Amino acid sequence: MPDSPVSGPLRILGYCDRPNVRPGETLDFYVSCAEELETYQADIVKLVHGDLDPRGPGYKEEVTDTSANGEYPARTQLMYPGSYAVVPDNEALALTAGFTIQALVWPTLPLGGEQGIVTKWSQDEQAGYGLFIDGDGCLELRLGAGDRGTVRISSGEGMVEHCWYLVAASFDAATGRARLHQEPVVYAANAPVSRQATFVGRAVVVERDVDVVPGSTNVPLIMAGWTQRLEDDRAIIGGHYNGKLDRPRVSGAPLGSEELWALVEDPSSADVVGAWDFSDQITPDGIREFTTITDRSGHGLDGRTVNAPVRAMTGYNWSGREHAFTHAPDQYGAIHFHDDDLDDAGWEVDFQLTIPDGLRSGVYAARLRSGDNEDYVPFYVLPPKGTATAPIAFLAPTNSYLAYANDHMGIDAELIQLAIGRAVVLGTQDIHKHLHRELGNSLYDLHTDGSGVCYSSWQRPLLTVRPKYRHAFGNVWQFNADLHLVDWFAAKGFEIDVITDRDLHDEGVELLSRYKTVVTGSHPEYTTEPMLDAIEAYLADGGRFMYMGGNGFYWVANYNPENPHMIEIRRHNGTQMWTAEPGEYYLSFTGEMGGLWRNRGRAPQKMVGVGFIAQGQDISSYYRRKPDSFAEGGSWVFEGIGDDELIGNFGLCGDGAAGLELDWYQPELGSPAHAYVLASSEGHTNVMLEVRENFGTTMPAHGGDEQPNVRADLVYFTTPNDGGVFSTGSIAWCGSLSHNDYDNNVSRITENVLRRFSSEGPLPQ
Amino acid sequence: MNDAMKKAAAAAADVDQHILETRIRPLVTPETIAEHQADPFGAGHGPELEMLLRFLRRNPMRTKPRYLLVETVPYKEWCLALYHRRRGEGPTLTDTRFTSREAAQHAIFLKRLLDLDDPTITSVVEAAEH
Repeated sequence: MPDSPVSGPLRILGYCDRPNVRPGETLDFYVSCAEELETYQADIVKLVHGDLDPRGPGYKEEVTDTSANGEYPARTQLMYPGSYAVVPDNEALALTAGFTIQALVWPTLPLGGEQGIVTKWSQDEQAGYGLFIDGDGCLELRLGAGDRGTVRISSGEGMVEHCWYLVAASFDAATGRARLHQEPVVYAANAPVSRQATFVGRAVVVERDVDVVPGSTNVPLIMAGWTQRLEDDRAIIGGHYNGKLDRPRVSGAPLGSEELWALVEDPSSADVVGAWDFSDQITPDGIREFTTITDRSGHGLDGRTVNAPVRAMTGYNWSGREHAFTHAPDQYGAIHFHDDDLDDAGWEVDFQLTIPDGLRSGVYAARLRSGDNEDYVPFYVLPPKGTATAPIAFLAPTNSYLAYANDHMGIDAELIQLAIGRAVVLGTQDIHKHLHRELGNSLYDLHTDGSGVCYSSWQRPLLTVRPKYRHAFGNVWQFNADLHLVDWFAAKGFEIDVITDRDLHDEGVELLSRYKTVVTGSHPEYTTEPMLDAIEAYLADGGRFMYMGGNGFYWVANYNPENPHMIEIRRHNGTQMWTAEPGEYYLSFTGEMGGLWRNRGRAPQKMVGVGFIAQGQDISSYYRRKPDSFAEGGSWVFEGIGDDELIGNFGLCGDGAAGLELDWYQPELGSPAHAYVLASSEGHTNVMLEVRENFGTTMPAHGGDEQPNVRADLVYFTTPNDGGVFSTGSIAWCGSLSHNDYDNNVSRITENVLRRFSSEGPLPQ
Repeated sequence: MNDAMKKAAAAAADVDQHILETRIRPLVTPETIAEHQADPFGAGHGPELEMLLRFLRRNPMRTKPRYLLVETVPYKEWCLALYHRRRGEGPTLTDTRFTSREAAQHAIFLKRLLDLDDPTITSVVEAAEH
């Protein structure tokens, strides 16, 4: 059901269709305003510095004169969260003589209110038929004829959450006989309970004579919901089902229990009107037709999924032996639906911006204002295609912004205060996104039913991807933290181009090869295989790379083949906020194993010399120079810095340059032996804890106060053809750049490296 | 929560009570309270205060209020608030406001100690407050 996303503390919200745009291309903007607002002013601004911390340089933006700047009429646009599958209305679904609807279901919130399983049902008209879960978690058949009456028949037996059931309802119009079938299908591996010792569900069959013949309705067939009403041609969906659905079938005749089972694996009966196997879209390269579902019955009742329910999910028959869905598609016939899935807010376009020729590449936003209300919709302007307009590229980690987009950790994660070393501090955006769950989740959140969120898209208001926003952890984070670096480029007079993760994924090493130096953001954590390949190829061919953060190149991510700005991850065997279910470690979009790059043989140490070692968001610390910083090939980095100076014992991110998340130099994970370990941090607290993938068994002493592995290493090394890598090993590094009006040793080190990397001439060996 | 979950939670609560009585209660002293007041975020926290904070921050008692702060004036004013613990429900703001982050964090620290409902701990906190 629709929700207004502007009824809380934020009265104006917007988004754009993608983060990356080049001169001559057009960007669409979508805006929703609270009812009382009549107009709003949109201005394109160049973002420079977004951290409001009074200890720093303060907020900086520059209005850019474009044709899009101006006043626009305000209107309220709604959100329609919740995933489902839809099959357009078809006369084959009239089923006047009777029918059977069946499916295998794995309900995750059976007591979460009335839910539609497979329905051709108009809730407003109370007409049609369908298979439901009632308010008591029991299977329900509904037959509705509008004013002529409605019948509901319940199984009377609640379903057990996270357990498979074969459910069916049949109706014989000639006899008026209705039949419900609810049968547990609990095997050794397909449920989280012990079938011999724990499972309490029972099989039930309920038969009843009814005196209502379902009325005809032109609503579509909906899986995982029902049609609330039709608005023009659009079905407004209610009754979202939380859980998995596998092998739904609709037959044109009442069937008995044995016939139901026969149709599960072989739906070729003449009675079958529609039979959907969600594994039909599985290819060796994943599910490329992500929104498609196809009918095997020959009636052409193909459909599509809406709001990105999760595919490549274990089905009722998953044995626990195969973990790659591409190897056993028939065991991955399930789709997991959630009432809070959202892939695209779907608003109408409010205004457009065609990027003027000559507009400097950089970080921009549409600033939306109405009275005291304000929102920003950021985007990146790239240089014209096939060109570079500066020697330096800033690689904006847009995948990582998507991963954290609208995260609810500040409120949902009970124990986060242990990791941040303080009680959570919420700002306006935090409260708004908590009140408005319809804005969708981050990849750190859990769905309503407790399952982990594995998809995130750009096409919705992203309240964490905003200037001025400080994360509930207590620091700026990701997008706004990376403006620390963007501001420093400007303060130091470095001309830069901006490119995004998506551009790197699409254009590969050719994109990078136009630049003398490529500089990352503070936390480029989510990487696709083509991105890694491109960076490695760049480094092999003399490219120079500055990794300006911590915990980078960590999680395997990839893009939806049908939506270039939606990513997927699967969390397992890493340091993680949730854990994927057994058998669900592989990305639906591509068929590749998700999880850590380290677990796929590509630890970040191999590429950038350091990799994730510890996290703790309480306070940050400093680095101390190491012998390599005085060595012939490494001392140039420290030019102008005293021998005994502590590096970065100041800064906006926890008062130090080494903090939040740290990376270490570790040859056993691939750090180059010839790398210079220039400096290492020390003095971390016991909130800063070694990552869990780093040790086999549990033992004491994982905190920064007593574990020497817990440190950030500042590393420089050369690569073939005069390439080089500089890595800071800390998310907090960039927060120290502006200290003392940009005159400090973190700024100096960064400047020494960037000037040398982006100039002609060989790098010190 | 079904009976099985209740049994597991009750077992954990018993262990936590043991931890409270044997390990945590001795840590609540005028010294640790003063140390926290001086710097609630500090790097130099002694092991006693660290252990005490870890105990409080993991919310050992589910029935006790859970506190957070809402920044009501950016970088200037913080409001003591309570979690709702229900998805989609906003925090409840109280009338207690602070003009420093440190004072706000310390107030929560004291509230959590009092919420333990342990007479020995309560008497130490009340003495420190005076």
